[in-house]
Amino acid sequence: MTETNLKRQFKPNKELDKHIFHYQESASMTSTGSWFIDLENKKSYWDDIAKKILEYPSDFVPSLKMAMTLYAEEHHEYIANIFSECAVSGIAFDTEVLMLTSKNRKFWARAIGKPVYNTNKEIIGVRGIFQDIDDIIQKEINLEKASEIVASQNSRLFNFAHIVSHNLRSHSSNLTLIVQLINDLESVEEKLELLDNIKDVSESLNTTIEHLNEVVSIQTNSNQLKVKVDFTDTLDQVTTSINQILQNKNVTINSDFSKAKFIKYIPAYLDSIFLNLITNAIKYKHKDRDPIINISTSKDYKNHNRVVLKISDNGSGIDMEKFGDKVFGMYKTFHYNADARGIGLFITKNQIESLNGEIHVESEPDIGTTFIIKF
Amino acid sequence: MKKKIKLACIIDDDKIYVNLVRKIIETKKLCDHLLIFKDGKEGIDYFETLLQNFEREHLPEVILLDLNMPVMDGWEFLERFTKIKNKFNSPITLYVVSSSINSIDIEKAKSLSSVQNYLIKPVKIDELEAVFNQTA
Repeated sequence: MTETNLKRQFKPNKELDKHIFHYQESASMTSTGSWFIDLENKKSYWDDIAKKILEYPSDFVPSLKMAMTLYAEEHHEYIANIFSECAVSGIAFDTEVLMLTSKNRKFWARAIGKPVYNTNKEIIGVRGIFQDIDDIIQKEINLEKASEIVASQNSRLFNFAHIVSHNLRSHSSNLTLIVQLINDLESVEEKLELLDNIKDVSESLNTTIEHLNEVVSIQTNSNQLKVKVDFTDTLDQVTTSINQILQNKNVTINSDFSKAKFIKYIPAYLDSIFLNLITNAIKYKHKDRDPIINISTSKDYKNHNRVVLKISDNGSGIDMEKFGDKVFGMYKTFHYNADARGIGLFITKNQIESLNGEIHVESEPDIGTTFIIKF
Repeated sequence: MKKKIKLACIIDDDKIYVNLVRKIIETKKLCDHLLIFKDGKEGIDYFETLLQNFEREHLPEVILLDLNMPVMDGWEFLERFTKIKNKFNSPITLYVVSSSINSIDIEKAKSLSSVQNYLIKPVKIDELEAVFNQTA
């Protein structure tokens, strides 16, 4: 019921004005608009605050037909359900929905509605309020995001500590073995022979530390400046740099970046993601066919238009049941290729996650592998 | 008199470790011959072929098995090895030798009937000697 209706029905008096004043003040301070749907006459009424929140002019006359345009598309089905349950079965609701203003601005609202009965206990309408709680929900969402980031950083740190301890242990234990042997062996020649082993250990220790440094630098670089990067340019750069390999292995790369041409990202990371995933597809190519790599981008409309990159190959594939969770682990190689060093995908995953993205893999042995990156 | 072990087997992808253990075994003359596989797949393929061909004479008496390996890790090897172990009608003593100090790994390995014991890398020379002398 609108304010003017109220005024018309009752003779103005001081007491009533005071009530109206308090009602309006509390409604406007809490951003609460009220509405009434008259099911018998198929009309709907909004109060002034409802119009203000929904960004309609104060002389706007709402209609039942437009009801759905007040809600974000993803909530249409839900809203239709709860309204019809209220209007048909008399079930009141109190919920949170995404609403749309006349200017197409989305905001979170708390919507409360209850049936209105006539004296015969028949439902003749639905009355309710909606309150703009966008600030609160946004804060909640941000808080959730922050806590997700902290949790994922924490798990990566833990993982990293584990990797450091494990990887350094294997070298230190080899050194210990060498020292034992030096002490145990009698002849000087034999002792001297072991020097070669020390050289080997020191080399692999250095490699391990280089790899660990690569991982550490990802964490420190993730606050580097993001700039607009063109997918086509990045792919061109990468393919030029490995042109020799692409020609030797007869690699075909098909790309389609028409659905998302650019992304704001750290350029070096995008280079590295492309390089790692393409060389990975070539390394693990199928023995009976030349590698074909399909690369495409898209936008996830359901998820804040997040850019999604897909890289699929026709390679030898990975047995996901066996190795699923290990694909991105450090020093996990599933094939015995001389150049499988088990660090590429680990680095790729870390780079993507340090910028709050996700990477997933789907694969079938003998058919191929698809990496899906949500930036 | 103790019988010396004829054939032992190492399944491990760390080349440096394998070379060092080989050197210890040679220097201490702990066994006559040594088989080396660089991952669980190579190892299990060998044992499954032996079983098919009834070549019992090439059966190692001792296995030193690493856990963390590419292609097929130690766990999967153990799973498949346990299934065929008894068909050889000949005792095979298996030690897990890993740099993992994770208690979950240690407990899990020790609980398996086919695992004699769990040795943490670095193995000591006298530990290796004990392994070969106990088995012999």
